[in-house]
Amino acid sequence: MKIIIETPKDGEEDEIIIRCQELDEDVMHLIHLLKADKLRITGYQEGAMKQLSPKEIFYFESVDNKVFAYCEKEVFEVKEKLYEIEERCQRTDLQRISKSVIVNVSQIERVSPMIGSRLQATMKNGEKLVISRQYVPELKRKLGIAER
Amino acid sequence: MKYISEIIKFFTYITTGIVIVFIVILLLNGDAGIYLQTLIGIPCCGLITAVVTVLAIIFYPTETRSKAAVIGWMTLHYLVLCGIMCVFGCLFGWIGFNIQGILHMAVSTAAVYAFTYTVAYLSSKNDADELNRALKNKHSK
Repeated sequence: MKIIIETPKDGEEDEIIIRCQELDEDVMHLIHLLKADKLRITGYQEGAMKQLSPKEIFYFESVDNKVFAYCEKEVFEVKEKLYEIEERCQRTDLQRISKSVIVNVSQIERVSPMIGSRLQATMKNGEKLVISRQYVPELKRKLGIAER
Repeated sequence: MKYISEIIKFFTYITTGIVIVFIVILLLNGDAGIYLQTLIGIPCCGLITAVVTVLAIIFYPTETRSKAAVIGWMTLHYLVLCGIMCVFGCLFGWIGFNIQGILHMAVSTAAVYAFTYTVAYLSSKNDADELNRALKNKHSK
């Protein structure tokens, strides 16, 4: 695939044009990646509003009917429901790991087994999250592990 | 579907555990044979306890991370399984409805519980290793 980068004329908007014979899986994946980069989630903190990129969010947690987005050091309240975030961020690295948590797979440092047939995800900032047994197959799919 | 596959998985673990415990008991008692009623009873117990185990996993409070809460939940799960096994033990004639019979079943259930727990933990460890390899690949890209 040939990649051409051109500088637009003064006053013209940046744009990406995809010229292809057919919209195959690779091209669709590229389009989703480009779209995902534009995706923003609105977070609220002490009356202030911030547009958060899914990449900077470590995980979302639902507590007492409120949803919070946990970044490396900051926590923001999010007005969307967990299932809405899940639907909107399908093509990103966000993945549901329990009834109340959606995690950013890219921010998981390691996974370890726990008693009670569960797994524990240790995040890059040292936080630990519980992965429910029933969400393990979906997490595996997200990481490209084929189901046996 | 995912719950059914979990039930099948735990059914396999538990039934294998019960069979092993039965073999040990029969060997210790010097019995030569096994009755058809016992052969029917083992998978019945395996299925019911597998369903209860999967329900225990589904309703496990994931926000609970303290060791005491986990031990409390496991003890409750074990006691429920003990109760089920005592009822089935009496129905299939494996134990008598007395203190000795209940104690006998409690010890046998503990053995099956330990076996199932160990196999499930090893399976989780296998999953964790697989996920860690995939994460390593992802991070190295």
